[in-house]
Amino acid sequence: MKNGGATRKAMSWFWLIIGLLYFFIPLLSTFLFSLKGKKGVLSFVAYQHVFADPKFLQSFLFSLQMSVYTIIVGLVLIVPTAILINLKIPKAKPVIELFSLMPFVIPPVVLAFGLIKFYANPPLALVSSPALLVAGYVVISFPYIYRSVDTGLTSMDLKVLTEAAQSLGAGWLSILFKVILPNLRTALLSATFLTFATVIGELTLAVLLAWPAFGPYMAHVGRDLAYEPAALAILSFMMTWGSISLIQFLSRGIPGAKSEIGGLH
Amino acid sequence: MGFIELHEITKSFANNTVVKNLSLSVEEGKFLSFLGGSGCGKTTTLRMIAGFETPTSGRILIEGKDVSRVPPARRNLGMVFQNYALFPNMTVRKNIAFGLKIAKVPAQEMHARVDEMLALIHMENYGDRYPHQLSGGQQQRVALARAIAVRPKALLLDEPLSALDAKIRVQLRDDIRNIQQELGITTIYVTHDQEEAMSISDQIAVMRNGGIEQVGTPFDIYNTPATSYVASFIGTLNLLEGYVVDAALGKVDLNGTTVRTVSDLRGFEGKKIRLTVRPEALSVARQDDAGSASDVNNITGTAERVKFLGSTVRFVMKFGETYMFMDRFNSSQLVLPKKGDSIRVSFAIDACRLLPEGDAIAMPGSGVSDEMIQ
Ligand SMILES: Nc1ncnc2c1ncn2[C@@H]1O[C@H](COP(=O)(O)OP(=O)(O)OP(=O)(O)O)[C@@H](O)[C@H]1O
Ligand SMILES: [Mg+2]
Repeated sequence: MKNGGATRKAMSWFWLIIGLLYFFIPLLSTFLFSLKGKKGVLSFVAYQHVFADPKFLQSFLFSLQMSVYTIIVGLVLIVPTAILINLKIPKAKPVIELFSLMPFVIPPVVLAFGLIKFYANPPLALVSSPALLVAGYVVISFPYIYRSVDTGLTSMDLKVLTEAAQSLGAGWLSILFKVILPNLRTALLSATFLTFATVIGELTLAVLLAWPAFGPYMAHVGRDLAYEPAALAILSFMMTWGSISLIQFLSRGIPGAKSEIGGLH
Repeated sequence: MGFIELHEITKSFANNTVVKNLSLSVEEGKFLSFLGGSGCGKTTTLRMIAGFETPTSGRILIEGKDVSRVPPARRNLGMVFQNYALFPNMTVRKNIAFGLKIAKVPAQEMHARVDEMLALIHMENYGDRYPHQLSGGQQQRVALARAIAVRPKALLLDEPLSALDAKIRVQLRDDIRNIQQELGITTIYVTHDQEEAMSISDQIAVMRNGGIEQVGTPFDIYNTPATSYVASFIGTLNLLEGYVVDAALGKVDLNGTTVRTVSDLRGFEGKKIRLTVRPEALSVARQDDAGSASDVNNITGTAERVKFLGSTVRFVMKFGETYMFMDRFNSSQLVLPKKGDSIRVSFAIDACRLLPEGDAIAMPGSGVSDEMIQ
């Protein structure tokens, strides 16, 4: 019996290590590769090149700006909708859930062409406006935002809390800002970071609508250079992990909060 | 005129009518319980009073004013929920202060009121805790304090104790009653637990199928139930089947033994009826009453087994094919029968009441069924 336990334990360690290797070896080799910009020595020269290119910062700032708009528009549209659906028409939930999967089913190319065709001519000539890009991003981030918010709402007993607040005289604004949103902090954070990560790396919409975004920039660098794309990959990986750590950090100390990312526990 | 009045309230969900033509009046400062089985419409009725549901027809008056269409936030009624419903992002103090803040009570007065509430629920030292750091009983106390902090016109509670364990339940129900008495606040309490309803209410409204069967004090409900449903729902009841042999004299043949009842048996001549007797109305017949006193019935049953219920002991007997219960106070002098012993029991003729054939019987905790013998 004792031996069996020890073997099982050894086996779990074995698989854990295999898993970690599977995850870290490509990352490590990418990192090492990114350090070989200068012949014969390891250096951060590729990173210097990346940071030295003014287009890096420009495109990053542009995408950052777009992601902020997307997050604002997305949250303002989706949070009240999710609350309303949970409170008043829970029967419509499956429909919305199905709807929220659409961006996974419809390729971004189709979305982009649809947007271009529909908004090309007056009175809806919006193709040259960044509003159209943001609108497209909102569609793409809809699943992440909706699912995060919905999980947050489901785990907080929305109906009863709302009724408790109502019986204490609270109106809808008080209920939203004092009761629902504070308890939705983790969900809102994870929606925010997932949207950010999606928008920062998005390629198709930005290319087809012809915006100088970070995604197209990375693709461009990847096509023409060798070491710099590896450096960029490591940088964006670090940003993603930075975001996740930030979610963990900010949601720490929220009573009853679990870290939920994209509706998963 | 009542403080809270319901006038012929009906509520339907789609085609399902769950509250039917219900009328009720609650006097100011009284504690009334809705008591009834699962799905009889207690919660729905309470939610209509609170304003969370709108009656399909009928009117709800509070202090004489029709509030049927007033939203819950403007009814000024305190509500306590089964699962506490405390705001998880707020401390105990902030939870209690919530309604006061909404009402824009000045800060100083608000703090004083929160302190007062914390003292009332004996939780002075828990003000800075979060709900998830409290036990269920403590959470429900805070929910109670939060509801009464705003000095509501009335307090509504929907099975507030059903998520708690037995001991806390008994303790907290007494606390609720004490606080209610102290503040003199009109209270409506929903429960399916008859003992709970009996122990804390001024009035009990027994509900069934979306209507009220009887409203009365716990004493009246128990001792003079208006319908056989109420009689069988509250407490334990022995049901004895027999034939009316003399309607004028109230004589009934039970399995070969003639007993008398003071119930009006006119119209049942020769018919099969059921008589009801409470287990505590039975006693062991004295040896010298062979002649049978005029106001006492005697019947003989066979002992099956004995159940200890704490302060009382329940003798389970068989009378013909029917099981029968007799409750006696527990004492070390008590002589316990063995299975198969014959026991002669007596009960006053006015302790046995007529239950008309075909009238509904509440199944839970009623009559004597085989599984209750186990
Ligand atoms: N929102 C609703 N939509 C449809 N039917 C409902 C709704 N609320 C309650 N009902 C139905 O109304 C009936 C009465 O429900 P209610 O909750 O009032 O019962 P209750 O007496 O409180 O029961 P319990 O003791 O189980 O809580 C039930 O059959 C229930 O299914
Ligand atoms: Mg209920």
